[in-house]
Amino acid sequence: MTFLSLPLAWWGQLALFFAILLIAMKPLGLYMARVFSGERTFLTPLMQPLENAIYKLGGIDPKEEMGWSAYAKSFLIFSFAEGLFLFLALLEQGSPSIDPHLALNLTISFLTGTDWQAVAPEISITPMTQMTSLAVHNFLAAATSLALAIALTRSLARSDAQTIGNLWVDITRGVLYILLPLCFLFSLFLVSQGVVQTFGETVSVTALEPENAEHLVTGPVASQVAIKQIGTNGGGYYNANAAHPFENPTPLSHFTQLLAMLLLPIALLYAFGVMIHDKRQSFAILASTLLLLLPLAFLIAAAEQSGNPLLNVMGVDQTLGNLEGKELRTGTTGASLWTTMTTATATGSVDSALNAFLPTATGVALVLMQLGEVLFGGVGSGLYSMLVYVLLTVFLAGLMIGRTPEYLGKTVGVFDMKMISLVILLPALTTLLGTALSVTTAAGQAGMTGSQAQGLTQALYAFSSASNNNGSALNGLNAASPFYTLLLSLCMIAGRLGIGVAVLALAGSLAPKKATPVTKRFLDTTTPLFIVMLSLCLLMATLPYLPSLTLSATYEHFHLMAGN
Amino acid sequence: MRLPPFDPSLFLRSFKRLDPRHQIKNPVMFAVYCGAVLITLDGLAQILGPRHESLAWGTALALTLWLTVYASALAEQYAEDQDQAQALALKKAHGDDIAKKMYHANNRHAFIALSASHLKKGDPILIEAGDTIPADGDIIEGIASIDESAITGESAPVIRESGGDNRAVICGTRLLSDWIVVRVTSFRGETPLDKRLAMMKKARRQKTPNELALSLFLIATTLGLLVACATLRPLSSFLIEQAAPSLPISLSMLVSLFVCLAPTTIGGLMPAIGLAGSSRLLRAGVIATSGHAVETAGDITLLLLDKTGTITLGNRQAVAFYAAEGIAPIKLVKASVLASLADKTPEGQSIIVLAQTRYGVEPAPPSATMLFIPFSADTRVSGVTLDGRTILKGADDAIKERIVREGGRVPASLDTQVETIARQGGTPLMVAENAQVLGVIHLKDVVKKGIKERLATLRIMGVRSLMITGDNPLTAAAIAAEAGVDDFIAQAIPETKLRFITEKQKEGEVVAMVGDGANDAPALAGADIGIAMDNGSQEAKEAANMVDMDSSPSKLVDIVQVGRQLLMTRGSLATFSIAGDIGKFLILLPAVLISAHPSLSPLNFMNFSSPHYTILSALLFNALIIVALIPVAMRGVAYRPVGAGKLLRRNLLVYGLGGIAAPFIGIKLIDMAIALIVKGLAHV
Repeated sequence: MTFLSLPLAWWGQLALFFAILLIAMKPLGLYMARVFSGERTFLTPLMQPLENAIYKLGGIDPKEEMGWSAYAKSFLIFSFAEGLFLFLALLEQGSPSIDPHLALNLTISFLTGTDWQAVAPEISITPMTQMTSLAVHNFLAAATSLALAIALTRSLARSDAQTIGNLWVDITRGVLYILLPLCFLFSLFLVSQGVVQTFGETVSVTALEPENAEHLVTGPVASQVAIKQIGTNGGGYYNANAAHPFENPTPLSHFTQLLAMLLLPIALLYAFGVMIHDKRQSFAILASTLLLLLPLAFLIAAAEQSGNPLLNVMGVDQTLGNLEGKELRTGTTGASLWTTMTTATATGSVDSALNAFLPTATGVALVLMQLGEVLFGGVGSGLYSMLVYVLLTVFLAGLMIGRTPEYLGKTVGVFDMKMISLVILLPALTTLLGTALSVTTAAGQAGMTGSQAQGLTQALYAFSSASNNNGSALNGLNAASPFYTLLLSLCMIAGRLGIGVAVLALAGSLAPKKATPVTKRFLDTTTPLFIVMLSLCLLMATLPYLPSLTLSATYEHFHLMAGN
Repeated sequence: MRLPPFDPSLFLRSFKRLDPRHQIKNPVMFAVYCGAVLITLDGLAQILGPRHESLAWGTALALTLWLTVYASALAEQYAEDQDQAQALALKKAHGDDIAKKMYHANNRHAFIALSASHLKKGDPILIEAGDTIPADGDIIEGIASIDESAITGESAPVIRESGGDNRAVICGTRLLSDWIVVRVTSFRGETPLDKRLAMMKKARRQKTPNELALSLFLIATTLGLLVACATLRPLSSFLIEQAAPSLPISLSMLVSLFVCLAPTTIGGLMPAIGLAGSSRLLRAGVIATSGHAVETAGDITLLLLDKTGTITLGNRQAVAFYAAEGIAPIKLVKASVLASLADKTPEGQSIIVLAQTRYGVEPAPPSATMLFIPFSADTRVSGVTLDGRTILKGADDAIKERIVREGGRVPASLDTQVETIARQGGTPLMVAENAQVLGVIHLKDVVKKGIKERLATLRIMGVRSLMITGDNPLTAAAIAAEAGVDDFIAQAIPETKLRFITEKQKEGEVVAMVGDGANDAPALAGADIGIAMDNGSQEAKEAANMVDMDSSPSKLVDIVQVGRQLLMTRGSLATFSIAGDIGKFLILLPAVLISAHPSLSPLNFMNFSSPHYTILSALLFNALIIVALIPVAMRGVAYRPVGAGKLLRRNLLVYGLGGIAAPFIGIKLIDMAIALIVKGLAHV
C-alpha cells in the first residue's frame, strides 16, 4: 500500500471535497452562530412569523433561558413525546403492519438520529408515514443534537452564568433557519439529478422477464434524502439506502450527498469558534480531526483498491479495486470515501454493501464509529463529543504542566471529569456488553450469518453503530428479532439520551464558572503539540475495543491472508 | 533532592497496608487486590480439586499479583515514613519557646525554665530583654518596650506596663528592654506547631479536587478495561473453530491481562505522590493545613506581600549618618558606636556594623571606665558615660528635650534632616554628646536578603508580585524598587488589602498573600492561599492555610513549585501508565489469544517465547515499574520555570513516549531473562 497505489480520482475527489467544505465552513458557520445567538439573519423576515407562531402555540417565552436541569428535562420530555408520536404512527399506519418491538426499535432509532433500520422501509412503511413521521423526526433529531452542542458551547462562552439557553428556541431556530432552507435547496438539486420526488403510485414495469412485473416503489424521496444526509441521520427511503438509483442516481448526487454529510458538522465547528470568540480553537479541533481522519480514509481506500487477495490469486483483474458489493457508478474510490465519511460522521447511510468490504476497511469503519463519532461526527453530537475529548486532553495536559486544568479559562473539576468519563465510557460498555451477550445467547447467534468470525463482526458492528448513533449496518445480521431490536434500542438510548444528559450536566457545571482572562491562561490549546495530543487521546480511548477488534476484523484479515 | 535512607523494617511494616479496609480507598489497586485474591483462590481450588493449569504457573502468577499490590503499599509506607521524619525534624528545629516560670510572683530571681507548652493559666513568668513572650498574659510588675511588629506589623516598639490599659502582652512578641513579670492569662497546652502538624495530617486525609478528578478518570479507565477483558472470553469462545477446538481462555489469563492493563503505575503511586508533596513542603519549612491549598499554590498568578516583616526585616537598620553643622562626620560615627556598644537590639547592632563597613570604625571593647546607660521606656534614650562625656542616642524629641534642658541648641538644618528622614519613612535617631548635638542616624527598613532573586524567579514562573504597605508612596516606591516587586500599593489600610484581593480575584487572578500581622488576618483568609510567617501573630497564622516556619517570604517559590510538581507528577505518571497500554495490548493480546486462535500468530511480531512467560513478564514489569518509579513519586517530576508549552513537550516526550516504549523494552527484557533462568533450571 503506497500513496501512489490509489488512483488520482480518489485524491482528486478528496481534495475537492475538503476544498469545498473549507470554503463553505466560514459563511455557514457565521450564519449558524448568528442564528443561535438570536440575531437577525437574511431569513428573519421570512421565518420570524412562523417562529413566533410556534412559540405562541407552545406557550414558550423565547426570552426565557433555562438552567441545565430545565434544559435536560425539556430534552427528555421532548424526546419522549417525539417517541410516543412516532411509535403510534408506526403502529397505526395500517397495512403494512410492523411488530411493536420493531416499531419501538425504529422509533428510538429515528428519535436518536441513529436511523438504524431493521426493516426494509419501502416495503414496511407507507410513503405517508415515511414523510410525515420519519422525515420529520430526522429534522427534529438533528435539531435536538444541534441544540445540545450549542448549549455546551454557550456554557464555555459564558462566564458566571446560570443558564445555557432555551431548548425550544434552539430546536425551533435550528429547524427553521438552518435545516429547512438547506434541505429545501438540496432536495431541489437532488431532484435535478433524478432522485424521485412524487406522491405518485408504485410504478409497475415489465423488465426482461415478461411474466414477472417489477413494482417500483416511489414517493417523496429527495426531501428525505436531503435531511438524512444534512442531518447526519442516514435512514434511507429504500432499504438499499444510497446504493439505490432512486436515492442516488449520479456521480454528482453521490458527491453532493457526501458533502452534505460533513457540511453542518464542519460549519458548526466554525460557529463554535465564533460563539466562544476564539476561532483558533475551531481550527485546532479541525486539525486534530483531519490528523486522524485522513490516514483512516486512506487506509480504507488503499485496502479496497488493493482488491481481494483471494481473487488476486485467481488472476482476476482488480485494477478497479474490490468491486464486490459496490455500484459501478460510484466505484471503489467513491464507495471508500463514502464509507469513511458515513462512519466518521454519525450518518450511517450506505452506498455499498459493507459486508463485502475487506476486513481492514471494515475494521477502520468500526474504529471510526468507536471513536465516539467525533471526527466531524453527527450534527451537534460530533461537536459535543469532541469537546468532551478536548476537555479530557486539557485535563491531562494541565496536570502535566502543573496547573489546575482549564479550557477557555474554565477549570475542569471533579464533576466535569465524572461527566467526561461517563460520555467516553458509556458507548464502550454498551457496545462490548451487547456484543458479548449476542455471541453467548442463542437468540443473538440466531441473527448472525456466515462464519463465526463474520457473525462476531456483524454483532460488534451493530452494537458499535447503535451505541454511537451511527446507524449503518454490516449486511448479514438479521436484526429484526426482539433480541436485537430491544438490545440495540437500549444502546441507542444510552448513546443519545444518556450522553445528552451527561453533556448538559457538564454544560451546567461549566457555565457558572468564571473564565480566566485570556492573558492569564497557561495552556495554549491551539499549538501543534496540543493538537497531536488530542488526536492521541482520541485513539487511546478506543483501546477498550482492541480485544474485540482483534477477534473480529483482525481475525478475518489474517484468515483472508491465509487464503481462507 | 537526595532520597532519604530508609529503615529496613519498612518492608515488614508495609504488609499492614494490605488490609482490605485500607486497600479499598484506592480503587485501582483494590481491583488488582481483588484479582490477586481471585487468582490465589483459583490456585487453591486447583490444588484441592481438578487441576487444569500447572502449579508453578499458578504460584508464580499469584506471587506476582501480590507483589504488585505490595509494591504500592511499600511506596505509600515509604512516603509516610519520610513525612513523619520530616515532621520530627521540623519540630526539633523549631522547638518550643522556653518560659521562665517563677516560684513566687514577687521574687524574680527564683524561676525554673520550662517548655512553654507546660504553662498553665495564672502562672507568673519572668520575661527579660531579648526574650520571646511565651504566652498571652498581663504584666503584673515592670515596664518594658516590646517589639510587636510580628503581630501588628508596626515596626516601632510599644511600651507596656503593669496596672494600666497597656498591661497585656501577646504570645510571640519580643521584649526589647527591661524586664517584666507576667501572669499567664490563657492556657497554652499543645504547641501551635503540634496543632498545625495535626491539622496538616487531617487535611491530607481528604482528597484534593484534582486528585479526585484524576481518580475518577482512572476508575473509569479501569472499568472500561475490565469490561474489555471480561468480554474477551465469550468472544473468543464463540470464535473457537469447531474443527480444531481448543480450551477457552483461562481465568488466570484474563485476570493477568486486566491487571497488566489497569493503570497500576499511577494507581499504585498516587497515595505516595500526595504524601511526598506535603513532606517536600515540610522540608522547605512550610506547614500546609489544607491539602487544597497545596494544589492551588501551583495556580497562583499574583503574590501580595506585606512590607513590614515580610519584605523588610521589620527591625530598622542604620543606613546613613548625618553630622550636624560644624561636626566632623567621623566624630558622629565614633560617638554613635560608643553609644551603641551595649545596645543589643538589631538597630543598635546595625549602627556598629554600618560604622565598621562604611567608615572603618572598629568598636572599642567595653572597658570598666564605660558606664552604660540602658534604654528604658521612661527615658527613651540609651548611651554611655566615659571620661566625663555622656553620649546619648535616642528619639529626636527625647534628645532635643535633654539638650534644651542642658542649655544646648539644635541647629535648624538638622531639624530639616530629621524631617527628611521621617518623610521617607525612615526613623531618625539623634546622637548627642553632653549638651551638644552631633547629628542623626538614619534608620530604615531593610529589605531581606535574596528576595529580589526569588521574586525574579517567581516572575519567570508566571507569578507577579505586589507589595502592600501603609507607608507613603515615596518610601513604598523606594522599597519596591529595592525588593524588585512588580508593583506596590502605598498607604494601604488593612481593609484595603482584603478589598484589593477580592477585586483581583474577580479579574481572574489566583492570589497568594504573605503576611504576619494580626491586621493581615482577613486578607490572609480571603486570599486563595494565605501564608503566615511563623514569627507572625497568632491571628495571622490561624487565618492562613500555610505557615512558613522560617518566616521567609521567598518560600513562595518552593510552595508554587511543590504545588505544580504535585500535579505534574500525577499527570505525568497517569500519562505514562495509560500510554503503556498500547504496548501491553500489542504484546499481551497475542499471548492470551494465540493458543486458542492460532491464525492470529502473525500478531506475535516481538517473537515472545511462550504465552505464559510473556504474561508473567508483563506482570513482573508492572510490579517492578511501581518500585522503579518510587523515586519519581517522592522527588516529583522535575519542574523548571520554563513556559507551559516547553514543559508539556518535555513531559509528553518523557512520560508519554517513554510510557509507550517502556513496556516493549521492559517486558521483552524480563521475558528473555525468564527464558534464560528456566533454561538454566532445566540444565540443573
